[in-house]
Amino acid sequence: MRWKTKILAPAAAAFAVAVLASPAFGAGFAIFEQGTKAMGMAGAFTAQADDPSALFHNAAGIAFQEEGELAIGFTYIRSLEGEFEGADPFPGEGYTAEQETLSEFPPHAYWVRPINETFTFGLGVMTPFGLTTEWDPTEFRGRFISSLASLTAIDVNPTLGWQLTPTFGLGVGAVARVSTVELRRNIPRLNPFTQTQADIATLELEGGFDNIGYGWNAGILHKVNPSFSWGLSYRSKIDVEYEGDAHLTQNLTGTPFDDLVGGALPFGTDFPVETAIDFPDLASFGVAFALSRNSLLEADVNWTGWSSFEELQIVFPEGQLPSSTIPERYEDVYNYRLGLRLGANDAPSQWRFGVVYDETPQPEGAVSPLLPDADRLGFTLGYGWQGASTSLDLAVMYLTFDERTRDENFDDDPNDPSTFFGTYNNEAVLIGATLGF
Amino acid sequence: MTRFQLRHALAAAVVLAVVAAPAAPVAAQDFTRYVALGDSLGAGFLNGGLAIHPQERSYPALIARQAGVGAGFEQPLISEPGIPPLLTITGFAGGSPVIVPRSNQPGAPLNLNLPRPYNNLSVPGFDTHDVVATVTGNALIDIVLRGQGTALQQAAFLQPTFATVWIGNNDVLGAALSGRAIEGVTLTPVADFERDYRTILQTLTAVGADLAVATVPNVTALPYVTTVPPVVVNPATRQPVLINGQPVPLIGPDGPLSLADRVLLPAASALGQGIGIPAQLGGTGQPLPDELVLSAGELQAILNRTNAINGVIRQAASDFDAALWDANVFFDRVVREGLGVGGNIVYTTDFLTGGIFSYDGVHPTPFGYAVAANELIRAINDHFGSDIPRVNLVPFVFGPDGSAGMAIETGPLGDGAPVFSQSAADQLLWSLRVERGKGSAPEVRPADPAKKRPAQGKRPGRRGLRGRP
Repeated sequence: MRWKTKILAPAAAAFAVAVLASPAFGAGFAIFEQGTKAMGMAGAFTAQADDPSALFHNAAGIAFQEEGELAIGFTYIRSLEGEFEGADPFPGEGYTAEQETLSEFPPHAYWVRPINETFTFGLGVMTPFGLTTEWDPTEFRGRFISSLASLTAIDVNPTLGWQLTPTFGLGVGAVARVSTVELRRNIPRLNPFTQTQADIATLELEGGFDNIGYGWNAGILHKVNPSFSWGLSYRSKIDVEYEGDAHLTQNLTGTPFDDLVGGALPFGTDFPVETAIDFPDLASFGVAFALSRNSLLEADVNWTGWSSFEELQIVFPEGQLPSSTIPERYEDVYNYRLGLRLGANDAPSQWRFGVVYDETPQPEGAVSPLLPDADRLGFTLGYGWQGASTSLDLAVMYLTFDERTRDENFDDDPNDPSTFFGTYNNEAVLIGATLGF
Repeated sequence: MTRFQLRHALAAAVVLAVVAAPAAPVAAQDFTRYVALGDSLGAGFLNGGLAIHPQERSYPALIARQAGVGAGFEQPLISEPGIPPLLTITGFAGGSPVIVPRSNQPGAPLNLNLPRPYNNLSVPGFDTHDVVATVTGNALIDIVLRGQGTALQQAAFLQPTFATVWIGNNDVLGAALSGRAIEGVTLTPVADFERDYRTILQTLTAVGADLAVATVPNVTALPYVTTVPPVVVNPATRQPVLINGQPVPLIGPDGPLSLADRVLLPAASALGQGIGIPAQLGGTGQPLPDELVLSAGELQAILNRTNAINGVIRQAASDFDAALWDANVFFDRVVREGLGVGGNIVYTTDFLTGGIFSYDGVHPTPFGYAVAANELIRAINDHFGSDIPRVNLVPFVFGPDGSAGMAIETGPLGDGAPVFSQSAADQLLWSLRVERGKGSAPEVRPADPAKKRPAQGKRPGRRGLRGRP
């Protein structure tokens, strides 16, 4: 796809520099930025859904699509800040660390084709979940919890849109999800000669594309009159199981302790590991008002059923290492989006603005180097250009995370091995670009 | 310094502290004069001895540091390698790590001339009655008490604003370490315990101290008791020898042991000589001596007494409005689940490899003491609404605080079971004043540091002490 990099990357870069903006990724490890037009309005798009990214935002939107269209794009996510300040008893007051800079390009592609006056077919490929959290693998004091956590989920989403009346449409689709996960952490062992902990090994777990998780989605879009519409969209919960490989690399200390350790763990060979993630369902409701012929305001509320993410189990079926369960105990959350579009619906150019407040689903006891989440506030700016047969959308989002502190464990448990107290500060920028033709 | 002068000095120090550090977070609890009463755990005893590096990281010293007491917290410090000399792993007989004293030259007291009682009046080997009654005894006792009265008298003399009392461990521990549970000898009768315990709390509250106390952990779960299995083990595989699919019991004083009996850590030496192992498996067929075996009945007697004592402690804590750390409940859970600390690190009660217990199999590592300090701080904060910060565990987990100030010696651990040498056992039991059975007087005693002690009559402050009830 040489054309894409040729056209989009320079355009996006120029845009970013010009606008001085930044983006971030969605609550928990959801990524709501799956279409650049919607992103320009902070994702307040459920009641508009008037481009192919309706396949993600509200499937009913494609019912109103009159012409075939292909749209391809990506969202560039880059962290601007990922600071950690420690607290007692571990890793200690005065300790600081910084996350490795996150830099990712979750892509999206949508194809929409009307079948007849009433029905429209669409096929979407998107990346609604993703996450990378990375720390220094040799120095970071939380490296025994995680020095790398990386997750990508890709949905393939065939959809049928049905325009029941000129103003009322429905959409329903099937979702097949594949996902990869990569985790890396170090393993400590007590050195009996020093009575202190030694960093004896690096454990890497990798799995993906082994199993497909299935789900569905549906949407309603009602264009009540030319100046008011509402929409409702739902994407179901999907469970994905992973069967991957684990690999242990010994970290040599240069003492005879190495020999003792060397015989105790299966270094150098791959052995199986299994895990599963119950991805949440997502419901969106939006209302859009035309303020004038050239401007439109939309307000959305999203609900995410994050309570599905109860725990993360790491199972070694052959017993080379003890299996473990990381409690997550996420909670269902809402987020709120407000978007403004300047420029008529069919104008050759549009400016878009938005603001989003994203509640974190993550309880304090689950805040950890694996994923330190927080409530977020995002501001967006977008621009759309519409030519005769092609279109280009650009958007930028600046995302600030509330300061997040963990100083207690689940159930106030003093014996919780995940105890890693301190405060996280994050900030990110997202840049979106979608080309349509 | 007279008592009058002492008070003025303390008052000046308080004023100075308040003026000099107005921005420092002020704990709601008054630690101006903090005193610790206790036993070897409070003294910072580990690796079979008492030495400055672990003393400076004893739980009372850590609490004092966290509460901002600073240099005013005085302890009966002892130079390296300690009294008795701290144990270490050395020699690798038949692939087994051997635990022996690091030196045959003990350390020396460093703070004998302090003109007032120590803030840390914890004495290794002390049971509850000793705190109210004992004035002199072995070298360790004399280094702490200096002939100036009982630990309780000296504590009261300091007029503490705050005191920690963790006592009672030796009211049951002697039974576990000596292999004999004898009422009134190795087990303190509950009524006696209750009388002395309440006397201690009463005396301290009467002089105005706020209190924190702790219960007695299950001493039958110490590595000293749990490490050596009661069955014949193949030294090559470290797995029990099976005959007809059944493990072969060791021979105890009353015949073959049951799986519910316990063999004490120092039995490793005897087992190495074939004692306790049936002749048909290459042993001598001689029984293990009683002092190396805890029968199931003795274990139960120790547990029952521990529970009764802890009932007294909990009730007294409530009656005297003391913060309570239920160390018994805490330790039971650690035995079952391990001890999780920051960053996915889990400690266990396993001997040598678990990280909670030091080389003597009874006393914690510096890490273990730091955890105890944090749990006590938690209890104090919960009870008194104070905001004392917890101890940063990182230096205890990764060093240098965790290494107990010993030379870091490494070598192949080998495949054999650890051997707890006779000299290691002797000095541990000597320190804890555990009576031995017939004809088992320690062959090698640490040199008696009491000889270096200045004459008692010259001890400053003695007169003041005498004047107190």
